[in-house]
Amino acid sequence: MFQDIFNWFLILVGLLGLILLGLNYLIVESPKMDENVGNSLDYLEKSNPFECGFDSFKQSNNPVPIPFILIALLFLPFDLEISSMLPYIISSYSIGLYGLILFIIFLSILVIGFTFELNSKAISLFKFLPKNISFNKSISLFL
Amino acid sequence: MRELIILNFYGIIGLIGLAKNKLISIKQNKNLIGKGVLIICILSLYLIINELKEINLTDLGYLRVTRLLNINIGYDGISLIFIILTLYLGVISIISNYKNIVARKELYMLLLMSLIILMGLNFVCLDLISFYILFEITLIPLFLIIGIYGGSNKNKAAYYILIYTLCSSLFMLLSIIMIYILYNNVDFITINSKIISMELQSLLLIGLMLGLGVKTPLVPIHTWLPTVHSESPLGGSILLAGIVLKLAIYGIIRILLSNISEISLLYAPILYVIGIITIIYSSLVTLSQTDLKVIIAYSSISHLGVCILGIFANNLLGIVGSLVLCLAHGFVSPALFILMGGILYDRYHNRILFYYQGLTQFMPIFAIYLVFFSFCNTGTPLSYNFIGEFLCISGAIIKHPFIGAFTAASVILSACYQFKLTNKLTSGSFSKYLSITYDLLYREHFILLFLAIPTLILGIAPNIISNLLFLSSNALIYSIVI
Amino acid sequence: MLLSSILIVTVLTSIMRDKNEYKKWVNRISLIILIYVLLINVNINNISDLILGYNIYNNMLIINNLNNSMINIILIIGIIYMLLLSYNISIIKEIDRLIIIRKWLSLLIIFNILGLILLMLVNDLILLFVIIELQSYSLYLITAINNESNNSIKSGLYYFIVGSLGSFIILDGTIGIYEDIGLTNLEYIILYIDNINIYNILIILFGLFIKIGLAPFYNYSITIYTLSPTMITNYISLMPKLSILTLILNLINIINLIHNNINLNIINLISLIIFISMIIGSIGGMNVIRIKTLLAYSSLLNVSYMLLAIISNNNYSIIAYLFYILQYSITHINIFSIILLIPLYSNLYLYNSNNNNNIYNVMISKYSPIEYISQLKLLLNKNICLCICFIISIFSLIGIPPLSGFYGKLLVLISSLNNGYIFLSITLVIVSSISAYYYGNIIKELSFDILNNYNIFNYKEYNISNIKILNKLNKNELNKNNLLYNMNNKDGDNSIIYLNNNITYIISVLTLIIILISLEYDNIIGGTYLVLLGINI
Repeated sequence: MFQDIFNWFLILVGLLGLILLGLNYLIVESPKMDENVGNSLDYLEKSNPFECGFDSFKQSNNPVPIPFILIALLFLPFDLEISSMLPYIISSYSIGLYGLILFIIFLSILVIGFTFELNSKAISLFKFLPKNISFNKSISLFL
Repeated sequence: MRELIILNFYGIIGLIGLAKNKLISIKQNKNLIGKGVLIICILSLYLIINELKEINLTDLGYLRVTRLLNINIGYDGISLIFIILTLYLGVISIISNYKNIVARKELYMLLLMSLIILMGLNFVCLDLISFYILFEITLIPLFLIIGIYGGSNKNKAAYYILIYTLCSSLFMLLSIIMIYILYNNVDFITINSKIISMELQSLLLIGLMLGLGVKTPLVPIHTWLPTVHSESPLGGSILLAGIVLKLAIYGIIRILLSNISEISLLYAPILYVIGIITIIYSSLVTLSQTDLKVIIAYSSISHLGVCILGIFANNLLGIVGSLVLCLAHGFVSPALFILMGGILYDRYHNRILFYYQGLTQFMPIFAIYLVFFSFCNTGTPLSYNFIGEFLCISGAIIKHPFIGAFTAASVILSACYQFKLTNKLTSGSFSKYLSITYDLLYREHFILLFLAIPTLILGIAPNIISNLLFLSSNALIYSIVI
Repeated sequence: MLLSSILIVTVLTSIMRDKNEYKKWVNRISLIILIYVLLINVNINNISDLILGYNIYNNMLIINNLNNSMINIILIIGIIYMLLLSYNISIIKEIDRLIIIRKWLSLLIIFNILGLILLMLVNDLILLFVIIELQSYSLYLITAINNESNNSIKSGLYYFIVGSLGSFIILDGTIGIYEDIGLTNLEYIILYIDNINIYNILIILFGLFIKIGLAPFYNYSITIYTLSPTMITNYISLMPKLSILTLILNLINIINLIHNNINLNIINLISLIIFISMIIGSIGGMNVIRIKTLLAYSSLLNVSYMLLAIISNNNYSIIAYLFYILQYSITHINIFSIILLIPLYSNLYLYNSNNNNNIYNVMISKYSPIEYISQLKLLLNKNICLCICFIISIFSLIGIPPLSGFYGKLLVLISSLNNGYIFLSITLVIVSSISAYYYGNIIKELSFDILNNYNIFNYKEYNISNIKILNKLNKNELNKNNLLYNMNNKDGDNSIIYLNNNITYIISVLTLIIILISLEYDNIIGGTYLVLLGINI
């Protein structure tokens, strides 16, 4: 018997949620983006989801160093690039010259992307080091 | 016809170029644009009066059809009279604002000139969509003129005219689109020869009457008129009262009576009742107004109510009567606006009725003109208004005697408010709130004279124009075309 | 054509170097690239060849007349936008900084235009998802491209979150269709249309509505169009709408092939969405004080008009759609170009830090100095031609003949009345009149008070032609030889500021097009009628 009314139960739950939201929208005053009056901080407590505990006083002392995040992010496109090269390696004899030219076109698009990020120094992790650390000057051009 | 349009078009572009020209120093020719606009307007008036000599007045149907930019334009008798009225009132409006507006005069003169040209072009259209386009295009200059140069409540007046007329004209556009969907053609000549079913005709009537009923003010959609007429500058007031109101009557004749004539016959009682309510209600409301210009604006409403009664009277007397009344009202109402809004407002800078009394003592010529035009406004014999009202009332009585008799109330009621105004202004001792100023300058005398003379002459001998009107309306109603 | 644009994009990426003086050169090269692509497209595709359309890339993309015309329109609008980016707008460098925003902007714009063009040609639902992502990601990056501006980053993040929700919903609909038949190509869907659940196409349409910003999903788009810099809002509030609306046209043509109850249900639901959008677009714009919010509400309104033209199912709908999009894009770019020029003549509010009366630190925002409508005040006194161009564009949006906006509304009304949507047509009429109020508000601020002499501002206002204020704004880089001004200014408004030719040419040409489009109306309608011949309606 529960299976029969389950559908209506679902609809009731959704309807109840919508009614409460609608009541909130109608009754509570809130400053819109385009008004000159009101402070958005006044309604900060009401519009946030409820979590117990208190707000932290300051941020944590040791944040994650950004080179870690960069390596994790940049791993993905370069790995996909390598894995896209795999099918060619296996079948390079049977697709002959035509396949080689297509592979070169594919690689050239990726190479252009690589020159782009080389020039903009997107992959250099050494720029995040503090300035007063010394390292070998000859590799500083590339990093 | 073509030379007229080309002259006006190149003239106004030349004047715009002149206004931006830095080689001509402004200090030497102070009113260069005003003079240029006046010259163009007088030349156009001359050209159009020349047309009267060239055409054969006994031809029926549309005359002088030419093709300008893939649109057919041409006029017949009714249009010609109204174009002459437009240009005549154009000259008068330019002269009336010649010294009034001091700041930013070039823009004002150019906007006024464009208003005159566009209103004049509206009478030569031969198909529905170009009629609609030119009907609406006057909103741009009107909005800017009223908003920039108007009186103290000008923002509200500018919004009134924009939103009111836009909304109602869009309903008229819906009806025009229905006609286009049916026939794939919007020429007047093609559409006049077809008949639509009664149900569709009633839908079209609702749309068209909403659109046209706002511009001829019919109660209850007349509320834009008093505010707009009283807050607009003098030239705008003259053109609005003189021409825009007549455009609606012209639209009713061209579109309603020719195409959906069966339903206008069937619905005439409703329109009659609305007309009677317009006349009586607006006249009674006028009795309690305190603003001088608003009183004159309300008088326009009641006069055009009589016109509506004449138009839907289903006989030639009523139709010609309403056209004659439109023409006569086009002479008298601008004159009253000049008297109230031009002469008194320039001197004393307010329009409140209580401050004025006994102006005959020190402004006798003003009082002469005021009394003359007041008598004309109420429809006294020897004025052109009398002929118009007489024909309208007789047409209405022929159709429906009981309701038609109520239109005679328009004469009485207009006498009520008009002479309350005139008596207050002219008789009594000189008002203690005012000081003594100039009587009438030469410029104002000139324009009032040139508005008084046609009224008087046409009142004595109306056949000069009425022959043409009779013939053309005859041709239109019985669908005799070229 | 597509291949060449892809190649050129990849060539452009190699040009990206880190030189400060050559930022404008990159913009100009991308301008030349776009012109080249447009010329190739115009030369290759004739109208007679494309009547039935041809498929490329293994039936994944289809090019027919409608897509070709829309590609041309998008490229032309892109070219006008790149023209704005490629040149200075005035001699004063402070105002010019609005345009030299970031060096990656032109690259992202080329990627985005590539995505927009491909989006219209799509014939397969998987490719739809891929190209929507291509188009959307570049759009998110364009929105968030100014790193230093708080508002810009906020709007970019917001756009990203809501846009991904839209893409997710599109994927959901695709899964539903793939579940019923094992195919995702649109031609096969038309073939097997009796076997699928039509509501899945409605789910795809909902995802697309979220991306445009129709009601009831409009709040985010109003926020992002307000918070972004002016130059960016110019782009993001116009371009995605063109291509996504064409895609919606293609999908609704599929829905209209069946003629039973389900069809009517879907059309009724979309009519409800149009109705709500119209009402919100007109009434929501009444109480605004910022000009970009007002233009955002007006774009919501115009998109609902275009959607009304799309759901009508007769010959006039394509004519109405193409004409309306053309005139709306022209008016839109015209208004934004004029808003870019107004800071020269307007009062920039300078805030006072440390309550010291002699030091004024910063404009209200470096990236969009014109933010409030009251900053447009009295433009008629300062530069009458610019004001007249602005007034004409606003009147075109209201819909007053003979400007182009009226003809657009006329065609939309013809197509919808021809199909019997009387309620929506009457709503269109009423909503046009309501929206005329807030358009008239702009004209009121521009011109109505020029004859009054009163001082209404509580802020300290300064006109940028005053050289002392410029000195305080930027002490180092003001080159006095560059600035041409009139030293004998009795009141502060009499100085001569020379505008660059480029932007004034654009504004004047677009304004003339708006005025004079009524002369070429017959030819334009004839052209769109030719487009009509191949579409299966």
